[in-house]
Amino acid sequence: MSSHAAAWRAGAVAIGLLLAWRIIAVNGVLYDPSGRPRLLAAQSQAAGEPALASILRENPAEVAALLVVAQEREARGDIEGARRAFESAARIAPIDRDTLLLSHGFFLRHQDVPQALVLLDRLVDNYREYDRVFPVFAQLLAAREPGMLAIAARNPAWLGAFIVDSCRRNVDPALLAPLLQQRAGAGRAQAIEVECVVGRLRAAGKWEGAYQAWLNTLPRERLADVGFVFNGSFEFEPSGVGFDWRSAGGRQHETGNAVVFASANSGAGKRAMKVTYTGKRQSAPAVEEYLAVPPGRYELSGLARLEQLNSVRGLQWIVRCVAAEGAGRTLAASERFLAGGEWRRFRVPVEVPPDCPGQVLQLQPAGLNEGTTYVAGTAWFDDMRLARAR
Amino acid sequence: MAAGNHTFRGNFGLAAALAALAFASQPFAQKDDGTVARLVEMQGNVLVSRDDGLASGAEDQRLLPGTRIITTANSSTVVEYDDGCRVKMKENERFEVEKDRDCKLLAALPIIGAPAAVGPALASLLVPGSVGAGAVGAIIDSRNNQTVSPS
Repeated sequence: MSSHAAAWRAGAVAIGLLLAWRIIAVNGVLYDPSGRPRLLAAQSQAAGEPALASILRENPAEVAALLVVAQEREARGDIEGARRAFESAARIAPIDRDTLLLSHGFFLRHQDVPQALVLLDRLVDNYREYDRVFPVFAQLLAAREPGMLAIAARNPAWLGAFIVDSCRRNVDPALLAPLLQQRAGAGRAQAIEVECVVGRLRAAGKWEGAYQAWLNTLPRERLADVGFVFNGSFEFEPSGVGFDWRSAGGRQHETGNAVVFASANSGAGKRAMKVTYTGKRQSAPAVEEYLAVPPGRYELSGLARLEQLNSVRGLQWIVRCVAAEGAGRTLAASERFLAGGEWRRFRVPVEVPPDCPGQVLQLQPAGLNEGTTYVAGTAWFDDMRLARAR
Repeated sequence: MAAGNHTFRGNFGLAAALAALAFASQPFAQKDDGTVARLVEMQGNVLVSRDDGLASGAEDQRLLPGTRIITTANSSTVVEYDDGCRVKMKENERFEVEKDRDCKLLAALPIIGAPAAVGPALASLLVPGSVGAGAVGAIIDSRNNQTVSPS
């Protein structure tokens, strides 16, 4: 037993000595006898490379020295020598942050984009250097750089963050749509990515592309029935993105309303949309949905049920063209919903002109923009459809 | 008898040829239900327009003039007209079924158009703060806090 403990002690001492030797040896390489870093000393010399070469002779794997050598070679025009040094550094320390930062810059400066991309990819993978690297990736994506496309095709974990970051930096959303499609295909697309890319396409007036990009993010079962009014049966929870229902957001005590898709007995499915108004002033539609309906004549219809809905002018469904600047022209306005009543169907004709590629369907107090409007009570809606007029 | 048979065969052949010509003179044959084409070779999610939106298409689905076909991601199909004209659709394309139009003029259109490639100015691609004279000192400074090399 005691001999066993002695063996353990001896082993621990041996490991300690080994570590001490390693520290002393490395410090011997990095520092001169006065304690001054050798590399600083080397850098300060006019002809620093011999000193650095000496350090490298003592420890060929000293990446910091290699990087300094590489930079000095580049500075004096020895590009091939610099390349060899940077490549060596990247081989010795493939995920060292400094190596990646300095080496990729060299390769970009000397037109070796594929090599730079390999290093940038590692930089993002290992250090999440999003702010630094994503703008570079975005430019390479715009240039259709094959290496960048190959990285994107690998569908790395950071691709979603790249989509959102680039989208917010006003990168052309048409470049990001294929990446979003790739993410959606792998079941990884997040609502924030979808909303940003689809929203930017919409804002750019590319309604058909926006609609397509959004369609590509829907699960297969939702594609079986994509109404011009999506989820007009209110059977599914609203995603709030793309061309799905979106509510005003915020807290009920701030907005003065609450929108829920709740169990109901309208005769059309199991659920319906319930909009409850608290009596506060209304300043925006409680719920809305973007549409991308082709030009033509349609009929908007739905079921409505009201519970003590009090408002001077009542509620209305409005269909508007979405204009580049602010609210567009109104295409249709439903009857006004007020007071109480059991489920009943309402209908309103809608004509979409050729110069109106994108529309929005909104539930709002009638005369919202004409003065102060207060609404209290509850309105239920179900089976909302927009169908071609015959 | 042999001559009569020959004449019958000759008349039959002439009638068949005239019938074929009559069909050929109609650019797009139309069925009783008004359809002029069908979906074939469907892969993935292909959407077909209807009065109140879009619905999943099905193999061999008959198509009326004016119907819009949309292929989603990783999807493809062929719109095959009854006269044999075939319009191939790749992913993210749309096509509107038309009749009485030359087959050569029928083509699906891409929906998500790829913007033109913009070549980056490589000098502008450098990651900020990663290069330059200061970086040499910076990297050494950062190493001064280390007691072992990264190797």
